[in-house]
Amino acid sequence: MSMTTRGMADKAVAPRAIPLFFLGVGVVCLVAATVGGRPVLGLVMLGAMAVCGLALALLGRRSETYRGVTGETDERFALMGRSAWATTGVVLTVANLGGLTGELVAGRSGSPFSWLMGLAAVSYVSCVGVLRQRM
Amino acid sequence: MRNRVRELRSARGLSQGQLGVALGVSRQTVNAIETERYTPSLPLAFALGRFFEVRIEEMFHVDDDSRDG
Repeated sequence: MSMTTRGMADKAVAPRAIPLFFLGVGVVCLVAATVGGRPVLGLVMLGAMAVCGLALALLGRRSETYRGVTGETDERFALMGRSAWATTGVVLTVANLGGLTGELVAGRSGSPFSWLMGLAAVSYVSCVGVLRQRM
Repeated sequence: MRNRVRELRSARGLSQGQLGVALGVSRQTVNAIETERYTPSLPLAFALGRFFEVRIEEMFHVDDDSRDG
């Protein structure tokens, strides 16, 4: 059996990737809000994202958990990350279901919650289909 | 799943951090294994066995009360 323990300490993403991602989302929001004629809102959103990114960058220096989930990772942190994403997916799906129900009760079409629910269903079935071949 | 990782590590005078470095995992993960909050994968269990020079079944014991965990 060929096995290396180094393989258990793969790099998930660069330590600075998450703060930079937040900053990137802020820039996208700024551009989108500016195009939509609300540049001040875009600046506020960019500022909020920048603060979040900075907070995460500072947290990353102190927290082994943060570094484990975003940077130097091992199998347990990888599992934690997958579980967190799965939980996030369930929360978003339940929220979408609530939104869809509310829209239908209000006599509207249910959009955009209806197509988001459809997207979630297609995504789940596709993942199961792919993963059953790989696992 | 019960295990003897803490016992084996202490017998060698290693800290959790040192064992983590040797295995390529974090100190928190070593702690989680020792406190039986996390069951390691088969490759990591083999790595632990090879590091401590014991067989896996000498290090890990199925606890009938937590067979699902």
